[in-house]
Amino acid sequence: MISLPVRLNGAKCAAFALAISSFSSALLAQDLVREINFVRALAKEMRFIELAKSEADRLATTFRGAGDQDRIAQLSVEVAYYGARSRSDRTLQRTLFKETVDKSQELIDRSTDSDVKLQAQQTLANASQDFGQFLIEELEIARDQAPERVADLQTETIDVLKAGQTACAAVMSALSSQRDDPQQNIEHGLMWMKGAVLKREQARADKENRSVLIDRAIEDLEEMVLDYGEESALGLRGLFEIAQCYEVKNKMDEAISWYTDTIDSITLSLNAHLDGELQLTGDMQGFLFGMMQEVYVRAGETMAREGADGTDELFANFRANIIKFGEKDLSVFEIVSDSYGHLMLLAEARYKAESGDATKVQEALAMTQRINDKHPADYVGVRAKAVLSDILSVQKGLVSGSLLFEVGKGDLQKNNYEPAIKGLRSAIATMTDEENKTLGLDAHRMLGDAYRRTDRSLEAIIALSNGLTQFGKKGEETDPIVTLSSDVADTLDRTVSSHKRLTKNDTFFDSFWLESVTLAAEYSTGGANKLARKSGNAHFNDKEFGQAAAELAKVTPDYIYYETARVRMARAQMSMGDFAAARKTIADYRKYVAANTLGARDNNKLTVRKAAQAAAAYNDLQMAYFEARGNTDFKLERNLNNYETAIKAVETFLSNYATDGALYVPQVLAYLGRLQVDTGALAKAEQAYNQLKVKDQARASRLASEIFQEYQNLVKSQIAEVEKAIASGKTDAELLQAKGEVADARKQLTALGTDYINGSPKPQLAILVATMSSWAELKEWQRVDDVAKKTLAIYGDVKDPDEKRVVDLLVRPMVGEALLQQRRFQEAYDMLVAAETANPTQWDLKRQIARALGGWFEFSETGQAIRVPGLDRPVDAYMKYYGHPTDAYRVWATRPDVDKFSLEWYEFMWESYWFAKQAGTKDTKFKDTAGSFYRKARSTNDFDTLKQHGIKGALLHRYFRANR
Amino acid sequence: MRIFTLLLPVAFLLPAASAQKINDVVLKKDGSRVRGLEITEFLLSGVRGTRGNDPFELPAHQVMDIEWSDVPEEFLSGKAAMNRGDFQVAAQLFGAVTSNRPLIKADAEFFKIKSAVASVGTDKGAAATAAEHAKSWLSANANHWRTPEAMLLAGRSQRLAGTAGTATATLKDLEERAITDGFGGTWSARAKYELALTLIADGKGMQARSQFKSAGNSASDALGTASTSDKSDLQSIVTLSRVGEGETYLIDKDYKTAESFFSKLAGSKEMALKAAGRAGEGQAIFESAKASKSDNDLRRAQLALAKASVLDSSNGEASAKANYFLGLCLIELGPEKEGDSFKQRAQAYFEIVYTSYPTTQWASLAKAAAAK
Repeated sequence: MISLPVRLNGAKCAAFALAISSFSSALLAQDLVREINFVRALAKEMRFIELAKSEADRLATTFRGAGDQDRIAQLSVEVAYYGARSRSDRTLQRTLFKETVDKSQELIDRSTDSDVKLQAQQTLANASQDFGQFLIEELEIARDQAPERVADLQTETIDVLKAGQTACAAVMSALSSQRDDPQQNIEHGLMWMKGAVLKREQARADKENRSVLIDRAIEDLEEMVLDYGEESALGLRGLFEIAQCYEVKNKMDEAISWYTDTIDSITLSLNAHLDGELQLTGDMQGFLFGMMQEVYVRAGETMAREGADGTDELFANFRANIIKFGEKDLSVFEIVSDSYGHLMLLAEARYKAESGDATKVQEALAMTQRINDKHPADYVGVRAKAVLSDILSVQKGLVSGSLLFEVGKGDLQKNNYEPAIKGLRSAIATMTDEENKTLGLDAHRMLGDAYRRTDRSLEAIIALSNGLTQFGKKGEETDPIVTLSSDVADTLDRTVSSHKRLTKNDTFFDSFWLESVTLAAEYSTGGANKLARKSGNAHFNDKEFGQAAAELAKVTPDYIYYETARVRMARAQMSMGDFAAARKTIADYRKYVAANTLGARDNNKLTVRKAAQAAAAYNDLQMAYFEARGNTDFKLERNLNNYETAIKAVETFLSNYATDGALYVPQVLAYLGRLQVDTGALAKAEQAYNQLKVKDQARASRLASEIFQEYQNLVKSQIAEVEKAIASGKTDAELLQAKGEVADARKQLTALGTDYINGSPKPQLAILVATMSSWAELKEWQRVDDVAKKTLAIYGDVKDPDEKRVVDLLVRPMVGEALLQQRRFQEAYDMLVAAETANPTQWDLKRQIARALGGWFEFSETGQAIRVPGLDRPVDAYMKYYGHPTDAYRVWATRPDVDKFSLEWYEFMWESYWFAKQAGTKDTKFKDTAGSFYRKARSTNDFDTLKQHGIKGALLHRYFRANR
Repeated sequence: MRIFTLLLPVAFLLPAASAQKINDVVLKKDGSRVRGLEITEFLLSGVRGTRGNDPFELPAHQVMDIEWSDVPEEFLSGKAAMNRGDFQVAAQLFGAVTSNRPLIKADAEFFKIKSAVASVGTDKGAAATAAEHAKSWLSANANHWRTPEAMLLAGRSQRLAGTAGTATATLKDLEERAITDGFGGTWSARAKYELALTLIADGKGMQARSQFKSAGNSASDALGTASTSDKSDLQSIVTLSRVGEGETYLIDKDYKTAESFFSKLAGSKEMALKAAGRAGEGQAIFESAKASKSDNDLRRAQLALAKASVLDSSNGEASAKANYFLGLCLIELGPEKEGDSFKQRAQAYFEIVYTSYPTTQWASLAKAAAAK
């Protein structure tokens, strides 16, 4: 039996890591090998992704040899891969997986180092499997929520899976001669299996070719299992993969039987180990235990879906086995894995909910709710939400008021306000008298809160008043309902103020407000702590930070909001610019937290603590941010030395407080993006933007425009480099890489610009124009056309003279240019003539008309000379460009401020020459005219001046040379 | 561990081209699901088929719905589009469904009609086409489990097409078959309610009012013997009928009587009627205020509508109506009364209606209001 050192996922990596070590030893300096292994471990074992990334960046600057650079690039790809795996935010995960797949592919194409190529192929295979699985999940979600995305997703999925199969085949072929080495043999088997699994997943996504693909996948897996032996871990896994093939094949009975047999085999081994009959390492036990849960999920979901006999028993056995083989003294929910374990519990919940039995439905809902809370944004969470919605729509009559309350509360915590309102209204209507005693007021408080947070203060006042009237309580402050009543009363009071502001104190509502405020006063208790907190908050809102801090300092630890008051006090100190005092207050507060542990029963205090800790961390990072970027209010200068600390503070916040401090996350991401922009880490800034745009479009748009400007600067500086190189006489071959870098930067810029344009309600004109121009430079003419038209739709009727000038001179002609470049000559001609009629003094339109009539000259990607004929009316074209005494483009091009031998002059000479030369093919008299243009342009130094005109000059130089 | 060696020969022995296993699911009215079925009949009398090798049968009154096995992509997408209120797209998708199973084909055709009727709006031509399709479906499926609903849809589309006489005949037929063919009290009440709407469309406000009463009474009578899920349907007909009754005054522009009617309704003990009453009251005040240009009345409307929103535990028509009119109130009150954010907040109200209550009659109106 082959023993694997770690559980399978780990095994892949272990084999991979060892393989890299062995390959590397002969080839790399020991220092770099050690550094690479260390950084890889940071990402893979410890999940310190950001740290690993920055370490990889550091290595790239330390080890500058060409071979070293490829290895470090491969390391960066791996780090991105582990980063993608470790994320739970699906939007970010998608970006990172895509980045891994693209970069691996790029490295495979680019590198000449066979070791690096192999490693990149391995990473590509692994990432393709994960990304493919991710996309299959996306497909599943899209089928329900956004069917219009299905077709595109399907194509993307199939492409990713195919690329993965190619990578697996390449790795297998490279390793086939090294199978004597046990580790290489394992890696060979893993790639064999992975290739087949990718084929199976392709079959799942590709209905048309499913039957052929799935048969091939089964065949491959069977061969692999026979080769490695079914007793081996690889063999066992292979059997499980075969079982899944039968499911894809819709042979459910066979699939179920393979699944249950696999479970039996695993439990047999684990039992034998417990009985002392078989020795299993800890890692092997972990592998088997993990795989058991995974197989159970597939078995459970399939059996429940098929209504198979023995489903009850399967779920019961799952729980029994988890308790038997898992960690002792914990509940099943705590023992199982967050991924497959929770999916199995979710399958069980759905199964129970389908029974129609009230008790089971309650249990199912409670478990689903628990899983949903644990997985706010990942795939398990998406599945849990679907189950929740299913139960609530079908079984509403069987669900208790308190459970509906929990569901509503969960939605409110996740800022899903309308679902929260729906849930809480149902809960209020369903609750029994007994439930109302403890939850009635809280349900109304939350309902009011949901309305309040969506600017519906009138509804909020009604909900809060209803709650107080029905369930409000006065008396000792030790009674939690009395405290809650007082809080609700305060909220009601504040909401009335807010409604007054919204309605401009409309006297119509006077009696309504008076009634509400009187009710609030009846329940609002006025203890010293509360007064101090209220007064502190009021001073804070009025920007009287000194008084705010002094009032908040009076709040004592026995008060429920003590911790938020401390953090607010620190915030007031920070707002005064006294960062040292703020830091001391927060440090003291943290000492207090460490010394005062809260029990599970202190539910309310725990909620307050979570919020206060998140706010404290936000305070920390805000100060660090100001100390890095500077702040005029606090008289702080920008200090590059402080950026690292600020970025770390942001990353710490996002790692630790993304849930409890969800309120701050959009601002924190905006901070992160700006810090990255300042340090030139544009790709990272874009990552922050991608995360931000799903949370706060307005902030994201502002950040996008800052990143965009940086990309523009980057493109400008790269173009300047290229022009310098041209002026210094570098050859085309020497310029290739530099030009490639300009194109890459432009691609980044256009991608970001397009994303910004699509997401912004009114994108900035400057960004529209810059994006359009960059697409033009990249020769993506359909996109140029799209952006130009969008710009005209938004800014076509603009009155501001500066904006109008930009639209008329840059955008309108570009619509024609895009049509010309797409070879839609007649369409372009008609459009341009109509535009010329409307704007007779817009000279560039005349030039465009000439081009539509007589075409132009260009070089293909491969450098081949191409004559684009246009409408093949060269004489008309020449007349429009040069010949007509008053209506030709010449009138404009020969204005006094165009200097002889300037770039614009050369451009004009070239086009006049070109049109005359083409006209000469129809009428010989134009030949001489053409010759005179050529001579003029060539005069004095045989076109050498053109070399001083950068990229465009160099291109014109080539045009003249190619058309002597 | 010798599973592979044991199973491999078995796997090879399996017929390579055996038909795919069908796994239909019946959703029962008690909320439970029966899986692993191959349904062969879906009739007024009930569902028949097999479960494994055993015959399976379930009486019609226990069936809530059916989830067909392995339906085409268009069918699933069509259902999703229906759920989010995108009825035009849904009708197109269902129209594109192809299947070897006649039962799936019949269901797709039925849902196409249902979506088409829901998307009619004011397009009489589209309504007439939908009515034709419904009639043709009915002639092919006279005893289908969905026949009563198809008859209702036929009647509705005929009403929307402006052919009140034909609609009345179809709905009377439904009402009669509800008794003679035993469709049940729910269908009788639904037919009566739809007939009342037909009378309104025919400009017979007074008769409509008594027809709404009759529908409400019929639903109330049936409540006594109904199952839990039917109870919820019947309760909803009771509420809708009362609302319909009040709306006849709105159609007559008798806003005062409408307001007083709805205000009385809001005093009911039933939460659903309370919310519906407040929403109707708000609507009546709004319509009157809009005509009289009275800001104070618009404020009164806001209060009533906000109460409706807070009270509506059924999360349906009353919420949608309240949010829709709250948006309109903001537009009418404008920046002088509601500040600079009035339009943005009105848009937010409309958005709530068409995203959170997409299948209500107010969704399309809210979409149109938001687009203005």
